[in-house]
Amino acid sequence: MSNTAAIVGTTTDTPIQIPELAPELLRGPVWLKRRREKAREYFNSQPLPRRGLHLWRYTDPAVFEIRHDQMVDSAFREKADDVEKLEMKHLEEGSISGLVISHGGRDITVHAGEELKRQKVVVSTLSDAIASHPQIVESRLFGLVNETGGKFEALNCALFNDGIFVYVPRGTTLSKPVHLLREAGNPGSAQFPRTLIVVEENAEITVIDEYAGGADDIDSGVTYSNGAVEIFGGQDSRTRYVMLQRQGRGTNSYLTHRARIERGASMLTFPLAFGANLSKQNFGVTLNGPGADSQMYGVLFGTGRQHFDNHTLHHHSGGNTHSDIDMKVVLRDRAMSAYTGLIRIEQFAKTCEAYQENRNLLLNRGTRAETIPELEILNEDVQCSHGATIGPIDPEQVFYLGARGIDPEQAVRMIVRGFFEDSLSKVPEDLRQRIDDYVISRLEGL
Amino acid sequence: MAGFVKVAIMSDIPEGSMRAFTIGHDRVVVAHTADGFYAFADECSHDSAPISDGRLKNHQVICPRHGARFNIVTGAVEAPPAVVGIDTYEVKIDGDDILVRCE
Repeated sequence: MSNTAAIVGTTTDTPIQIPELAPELLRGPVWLKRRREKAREYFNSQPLPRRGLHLWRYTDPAVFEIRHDQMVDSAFREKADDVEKLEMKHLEEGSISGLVISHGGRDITVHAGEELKRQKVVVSTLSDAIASHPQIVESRLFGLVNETGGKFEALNCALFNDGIFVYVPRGTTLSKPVHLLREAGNPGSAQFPRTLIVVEENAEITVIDEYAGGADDIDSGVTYSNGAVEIFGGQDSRTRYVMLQRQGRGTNSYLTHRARIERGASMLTFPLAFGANLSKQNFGVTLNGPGADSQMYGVLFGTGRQHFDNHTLHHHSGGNTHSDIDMKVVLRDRAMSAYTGLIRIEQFAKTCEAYQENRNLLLNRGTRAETIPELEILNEDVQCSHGATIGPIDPEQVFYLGARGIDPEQAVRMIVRGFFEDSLSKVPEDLRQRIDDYVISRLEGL
Repeated sequence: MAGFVKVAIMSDIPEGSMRAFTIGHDRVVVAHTADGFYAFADECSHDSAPISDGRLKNHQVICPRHGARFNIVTGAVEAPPAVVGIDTYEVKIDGDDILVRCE
């Protein structure tokens, strides 16, 4: 980093514009070009969100501004990291059914396992899917995450280079997860990863979406990542989606996830956040038909000067639907987490149940957690609750363990692992050990 | 990022005004008062509002969101609803340059 500080953008500054789309982004069908252009125009027409606006109270929008020279979705290839090798091994052993490795937002390699081929599940790049499944892609891409979501969603729509497409045909059950591994680029680069997952009627899949790579330290330059995930769950479908965020400490990461599930469908979402310098993630599920069920189990462990700003949305547009959110946060050093969780129940969506819980454990002074539960309920025939806690570890728990011969440091480790245990026990098995290792490594030197 | 970092030149911040900068992990406001320059964290300890959008009154900064007041020399709270002070940073003038010391 230079010794001259970057002047923070203010509302009087002219926001950065996308002058024109790069020629490589104008390949593909006419509808895609039109959508990109529309998103570009929207991006150019909008000011940066003001700090203090809803969802921007705790994060400076200027950190997600990028320069013109970063507006090309970068690709790079480094030697395969340990996780790539590990997941290739999992694929060979058959504990995952497919592996997609993406460097930057493009340069995507798909490895299909036996089960994937046998079940006729499609895992491909979005550009291939536009050719092979044009109607499915055209009718759904940008359907849930588009420029109406805001300036940074528009940026992804306009600039994503390629993406990943997962399609599970009607009545198909994939017993092993599909793993998507994305490596962000070097310092100074930007990525715009995009994912479209379509799970047809009565189909079942587990997707592990892992965001890794990026700059290790902000002093050597920042990597920028702006991702979008869209998931469509058909009637009676069953989807498990795991988002593992473990990007480098020099990465500013923005992500918008939206899912829509129909009658009788279930959706299990795991936002797992460990990485990045600054991570702003927005998870949302719309429950669109009777009997739809969505559950989210979030785990976040911040250390050093990490800053997390997470939002969740459960939108009950159909009656007789059920949702539950459990976000668990542990912070140490000078880490900060803000969580805003909205439950919205529409006027005609009667007999819904919706629950929300956010618990924050602060391991030392200097950490900070903010929690804002929000309920927008437009009818009276519902059952809803929300709860939030912020506090240090109860000294009596440490004392209790100490009385059984466990030293205080070990006691704190046990309490933190116990705090996460309930959520992590639901994470797919092949990932659980790695997550547990991340938690343990963050407890070192406490 | 430890040590003094140049953030601006003196003419960038006229007397009676303040301006926000990002230095590493920190968002810092530099204010120009009658007796010199002072630097403090650009985040109200009450509700995280950017204090740089507020008003400067001698050695006091007033948060734009709920009106909390802080002493920009010491960082101490001078009016609620904030109850905890804000961080302050050492400022050095080198010729025309304004330098701020961060961790």
